[in-house]
Amino acid sequence: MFIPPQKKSLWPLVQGLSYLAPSLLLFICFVFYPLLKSIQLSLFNTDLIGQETIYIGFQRYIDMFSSLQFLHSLWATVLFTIYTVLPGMLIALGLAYIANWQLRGIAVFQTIFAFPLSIAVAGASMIFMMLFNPTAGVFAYFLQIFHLPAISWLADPNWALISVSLVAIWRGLGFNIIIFLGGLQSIPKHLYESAGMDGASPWRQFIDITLPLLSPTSFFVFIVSIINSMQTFGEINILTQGGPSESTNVIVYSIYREGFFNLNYSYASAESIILFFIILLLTLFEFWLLERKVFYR
Amino acid sequence: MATIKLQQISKSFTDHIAVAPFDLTIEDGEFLVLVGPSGCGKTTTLRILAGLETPSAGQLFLDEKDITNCEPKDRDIAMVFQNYALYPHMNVYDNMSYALKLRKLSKSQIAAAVEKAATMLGLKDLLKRYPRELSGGQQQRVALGRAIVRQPKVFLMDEPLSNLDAKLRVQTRAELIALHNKLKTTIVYVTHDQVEAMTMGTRIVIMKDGFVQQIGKPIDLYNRPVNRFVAEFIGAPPMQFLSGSIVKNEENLIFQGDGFALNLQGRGEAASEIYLGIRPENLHLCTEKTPNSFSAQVLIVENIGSEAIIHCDVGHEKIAIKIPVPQTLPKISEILFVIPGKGDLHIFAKGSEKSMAIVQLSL
Repeated sequence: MFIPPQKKSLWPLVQGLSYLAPSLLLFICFVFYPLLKSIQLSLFNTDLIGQETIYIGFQRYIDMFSSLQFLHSLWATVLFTIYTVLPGMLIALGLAYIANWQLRGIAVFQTIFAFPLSIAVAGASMIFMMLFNPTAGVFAYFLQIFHLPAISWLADPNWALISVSLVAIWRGLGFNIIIFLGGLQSIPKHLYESAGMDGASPWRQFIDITLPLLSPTSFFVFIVSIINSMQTFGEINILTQGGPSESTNVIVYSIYREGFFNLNYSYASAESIILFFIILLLTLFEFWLLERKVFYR
Repeated sequence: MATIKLQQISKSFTDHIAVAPFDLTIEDGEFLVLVGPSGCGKTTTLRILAGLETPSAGQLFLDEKDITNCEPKDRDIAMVFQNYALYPHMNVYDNMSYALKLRKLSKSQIAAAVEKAATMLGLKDLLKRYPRELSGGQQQRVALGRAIVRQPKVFLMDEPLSNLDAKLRVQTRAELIALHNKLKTTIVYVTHDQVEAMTMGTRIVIMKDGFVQQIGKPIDLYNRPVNRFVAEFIGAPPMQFLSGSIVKNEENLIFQGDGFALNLQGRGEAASEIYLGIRPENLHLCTEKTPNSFSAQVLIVENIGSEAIIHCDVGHEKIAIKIPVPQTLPKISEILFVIPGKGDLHIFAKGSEKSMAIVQLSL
């Protein structure tokens, strides 16, 4: 069939862009411009108010990777991610699984489980600071009951990162539970009935039906949790300020300290670019790896 | 080799009775159909057999063994769900072999069992496919295959044909009958379609609002319905009803309708408020007024090809008549005469709706 050549009109493009304009504007102001500016800053020496002075190329990056402090921050970030992501997901899945039981009054528990979502990081940190108190805190009290040695949760370099991780896990629970609960509720009930008639115990049903059908949800939670944990700042800033002995000085905190205390804008920018690429590559890798393992209906 | 016995089984929820207590013995190798309109309790009954619902009262026996409180997985009963309930993340082979894997059968035993069932159902080329890649009919076969490989004592089927298109439904119906003849396993089948019930069942349980109305062979339900509901539910188009009264005149019975009378023969008593039930195929048209005929005005003519359904007004009531084609079809608004044939006429009491007598026209 002959289709007459259409007059090219710019109008649809203009119209489309005008719909996108508000979010484009926000993205440009708060994402794209800062990103490009950070790249630029990381390639220059900067003065105390953050103006570029001398172009130094990739020297900042070379310095950074030969700095023990940076490598230590990198390692702390990796540990923090390991401590928070999988444990956080497992606890959330367990609680969501229980919250999905058809029991009287279960909605109350569903609401309680979602609660961490509504508490600001400062509030949560203050609550945990009291719980972590080595003499009057609840955790110390429990250790005492079971005759375990006392732990200086936030003051001991061996425990500080774990303690902060606990707060981060708790803070992430609300969101994770809601997402997992949604995933669980989307699995049709008759599949369990069918599996039950096929002879599957509740545990086998969980392994053979729930987990595979929950994989898109788990995948989503996994990626979001990793990104979140790599960007955790509030808890650390309030509870440990990167200490003791740098044990909680994760990259995000290091960026903050370099940029806003040491006024080393160039270094902070270089660190944030590295963090950006780590998260980007990790996310791409996760998509590549898991997309083939994840079952999508 | 399985006999199921239901003893005063019932299920009630807080606000209503889903299944009222009833007794039923399902013999080995039977194709028992539970039929009724939606909400009649047929699916609940099936789910009680499956163990997916706990009965509120009563006992359930499988081969003399009390399985009332037995878990579904310990019953050796397979079920085909209305929406098939195939595991979407497993291919056809894995779907069919899942139950056998759980029983820890060897790989070769599983492969042999799946192969056999797949051959029987024509699924051999589809074993690697996922449910989402199958048509409705194919999914239905996989659901059947999954039940067959287990070689269970009993098959339960919950409206397995309702998601298929009309043509495939008729074909699959025939295949299910053939399958039952081959496997000789007890099947309990739920449907709301009386044609499925009539064609497939060796015995039918017809239910309404949680109460069992009648249990019997298809032909008995058709010929000897115990109440008006059964009479109307079985048969298409359903039995037609004319209200009136029965007068006993010496040895003869006379049905007094709205402006006409029919002479009847058979055993029966005089009654003032009754329905006379006549199958539409037992009604005939005649051009002139003869004894035992009554006049009717044509409303609609439905020509199905081999036969036609004539809907007409008789006094204040409406009836349908089934006549063979070709026969000159009446025109709309035409007034014609209708006469019952030699077949049975059913008398139902008004109020209780129960069958009072079965009589014939006195010629």
